[in-house]
Amino acid sequence: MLKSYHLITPKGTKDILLEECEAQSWIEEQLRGIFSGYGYCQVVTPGVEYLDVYANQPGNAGSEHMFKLLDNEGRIMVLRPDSTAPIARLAATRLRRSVMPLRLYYNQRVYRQKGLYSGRRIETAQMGAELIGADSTRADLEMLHIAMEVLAGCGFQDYRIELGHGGLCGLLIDGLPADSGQKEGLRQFIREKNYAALNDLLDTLEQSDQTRAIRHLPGLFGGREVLDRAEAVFQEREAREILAYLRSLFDILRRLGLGDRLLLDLGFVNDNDYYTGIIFQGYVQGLGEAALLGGRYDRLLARFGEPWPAIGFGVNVDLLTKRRLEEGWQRPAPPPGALIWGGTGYEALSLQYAKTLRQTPGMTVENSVFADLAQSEAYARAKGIPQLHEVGETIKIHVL
Amino acid sequence: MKPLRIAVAKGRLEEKTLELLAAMGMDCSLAKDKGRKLILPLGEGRLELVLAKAPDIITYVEYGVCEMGIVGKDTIMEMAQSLYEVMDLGFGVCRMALAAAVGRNFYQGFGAKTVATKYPHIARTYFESKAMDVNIVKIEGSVELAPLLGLADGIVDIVETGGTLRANGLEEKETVAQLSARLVVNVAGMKLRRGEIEAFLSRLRQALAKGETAVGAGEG
Repeated sequence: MLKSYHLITPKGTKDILLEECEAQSWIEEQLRGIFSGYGYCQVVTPGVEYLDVYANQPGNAGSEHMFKLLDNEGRIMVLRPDSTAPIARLAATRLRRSVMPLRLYYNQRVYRQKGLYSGRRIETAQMGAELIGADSTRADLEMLHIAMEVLAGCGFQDYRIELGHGGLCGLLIDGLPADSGQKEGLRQFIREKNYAALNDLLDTLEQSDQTRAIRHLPGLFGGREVLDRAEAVFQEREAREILAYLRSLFDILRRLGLGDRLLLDLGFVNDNDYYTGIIFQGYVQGLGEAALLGGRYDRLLARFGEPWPAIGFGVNVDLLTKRRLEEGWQRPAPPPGALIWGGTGYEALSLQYAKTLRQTPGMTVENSVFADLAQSEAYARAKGIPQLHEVGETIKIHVL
Repeated sequence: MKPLRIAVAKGRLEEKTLELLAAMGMDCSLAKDKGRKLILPLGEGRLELVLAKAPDIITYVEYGVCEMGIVGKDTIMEMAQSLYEVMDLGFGVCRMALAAAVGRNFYQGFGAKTVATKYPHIARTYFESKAMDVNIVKIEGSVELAPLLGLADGIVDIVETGGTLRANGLEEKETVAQLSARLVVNVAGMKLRRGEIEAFLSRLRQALAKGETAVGAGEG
């Protein structure tokens, strides 16, 4: 007999139910509240897109990590690995005559191939916001501010947002008299914070202000003092402008009392030059990876025909849910629920009565499907429903 | 604050790692006669030593359940996707090499070669970089057996002295990579617990520097 898989879900996926499902919905509600409060409108894009939508994706969103399928004309489609590219497509096509800037948010799952038995999920619940058509300091600040509000709003006391810049590394490396293999090596060693290998490789190159600055890159992370250290070693005008810009953002957020929440890492390596300005990641105590990732991507929209600048970020809702549950998250207590049972002849009245009760916000009112009161009571006790309302000539409330 | 956890590879690097931690002033006697315990407290409860198999260290550190790990470069190359590799500890020095029968040209002929290895990812990446199509067979135990039994044309494996190769009629043909023990750090841990981790790193550097002068004095 052929083996049947009808009782299990595919590797890297899972059912989400009960408490986990409630916690996830709660996180989603917090984010939805924050995004819509800032004037962002929700969009939903298809679960599958043509592969062409996703060119030059950064990091592990590259095409080898995508699930591919063919449409009936042989064109390659992918299960959505990321929501930013489809939203850029949508903005530059269907929304191109809108008032700028566009503020859009999404709440949809993304799919990426993961290593066999790595314990990683191929399906991730993701929410995020994109601010399209604005490249001002104010736009960058808004995004950072929302990112911080997201982590705080989900109840994380001890979160950090780490700020970096997509242009810095490239600026220093591109101009070096090195071949492409050496440059790739430099990028790899900076990414891994592999000081020793980075220094060995730099030793083989002609020494300059740039090579000296690059030696410091992996170590340039931490608090605001990083900017001072960087200013001492970066000579190039453009690099110094980037530092000054990061300092100005840092100082504005510091004035909001958010300085303790901010970190810097100037050693961010920008895959495929996807990011064109600031980048930022959100860390939460107890999670081994970033739960939030975003940045400025001013070149993406041009691929879809509109030269608009844009900035956005995505939040890994699964990670936040997992962490909140570990921290003992409990659903905010709803008003006590009730089970409504109407005797024979009182079915209509019972439905009407239950409907009235449901007008109390958040109150769960179940209709009993059982033929008699005793069965209804047994069910209510088993489910932990505190009250059984018996509908007849009069209404009797049994407190259980 | 939870103690920092450092995962240490059992086996090839275990002894040297424990010596190094001892040189940092940590009491490692518990680890030496560890019995069956796998997590051992070190240094006034601020540090925990986790004894694990090398490939698992990458998993634990990438997930962040251990903030740091000491593991060979071979394991990092084979397994790692996203972690910081912050220090070359200078011991466990050896190399990943391509070896084949003595006197035989591995590249001769047009037929696709078969290579046996415990490190399929490293082997595949190596031959891909040479634009070569190679059949890779994963072997769990003594890889030298595969060419002797006629299963493979060559092997990609760790070579320390070359003794095992010679004893089995094989010789090193090319070096794939230089290897040694490395200190790896979880990405989020590096950011969220930077103070503690940097303090650990600086003590580690001091211990390594002391070790080097001791060796130098011995030679003089």
